[in-house]
Amino acid sequence: MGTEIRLSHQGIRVLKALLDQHERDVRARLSGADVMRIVGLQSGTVYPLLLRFETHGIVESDWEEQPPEKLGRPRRRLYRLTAVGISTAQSVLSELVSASFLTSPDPVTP
Amino acid sequence: MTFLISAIVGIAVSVIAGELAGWAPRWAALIIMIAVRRLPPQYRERAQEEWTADLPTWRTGFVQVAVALSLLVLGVRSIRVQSQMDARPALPKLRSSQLKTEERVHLVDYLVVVAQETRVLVRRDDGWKPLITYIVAVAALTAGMATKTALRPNSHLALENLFVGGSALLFFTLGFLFFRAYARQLERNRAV
Repeated sequence: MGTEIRLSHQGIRVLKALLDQHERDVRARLSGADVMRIVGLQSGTVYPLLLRFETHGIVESDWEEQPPEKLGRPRRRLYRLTAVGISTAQSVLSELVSASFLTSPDPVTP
Repeated sequence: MTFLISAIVGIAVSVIAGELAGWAPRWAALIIMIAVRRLPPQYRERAQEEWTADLPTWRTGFVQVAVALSLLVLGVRSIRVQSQMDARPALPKLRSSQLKTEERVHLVDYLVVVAQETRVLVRRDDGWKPLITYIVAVAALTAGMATKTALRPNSHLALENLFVGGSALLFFTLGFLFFRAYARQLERNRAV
């Protein structure tokens, strides 16, 4: 489970969505469909990304605890960031913010 | 006459569109089944359950089909690249030469059931006849349309146009019924 991972633009968007959700509620988990709605990416992009993040130990996933009979629908797979994922997401996003600040055509000058 | 044809075509199109919308979730489930079959074996069970569970969260049937198609076209490829599989399908396509005799009998049986559901013929013990009837009907219609176009390309006679319009409508209706029967049969097989 290496944590070295190349992140595409879409990958960063998915990480940001998961990080935002974590900052709102530490226990919150999102399904693949929820991530699609938040990020606005296609299913063919989101699910493989989540799978890749899971392989690299950035996110963890579990089935809903309640049985399908009680839920009245099939159980969903829910994702959240791991501790490694949180630090990875925070560092990537902070790097991105500082990089965009440095390359901004109109930087804020004192 | 033009008004009458437009009305008939309009009604037929709205009925077919309604039917397609109603069947869209089943098509989406079917597409997901196909996509899952192409995944590496270790991901199949999980993907089937996860993707099928997430589908109903999309309200519209057509959106469900789009989500399923995206998984089939993009998702499967990405996951296979991630797991470093080669480009060949995970499960090879079944060829008729690979079928055993009993399986061929089942296939004929199945085609008869499909033809019955399209109401081409009624009795089950007619063997290949229903399918041949269907093929002959479609071939005759196509030949009629082609002949009409070849002989009188600029003809605007109402009767001929009615014939061509009716043929096209019949062609699409039969095709639609055929595929609906196919989907129903798949559903029954899954239930069994």
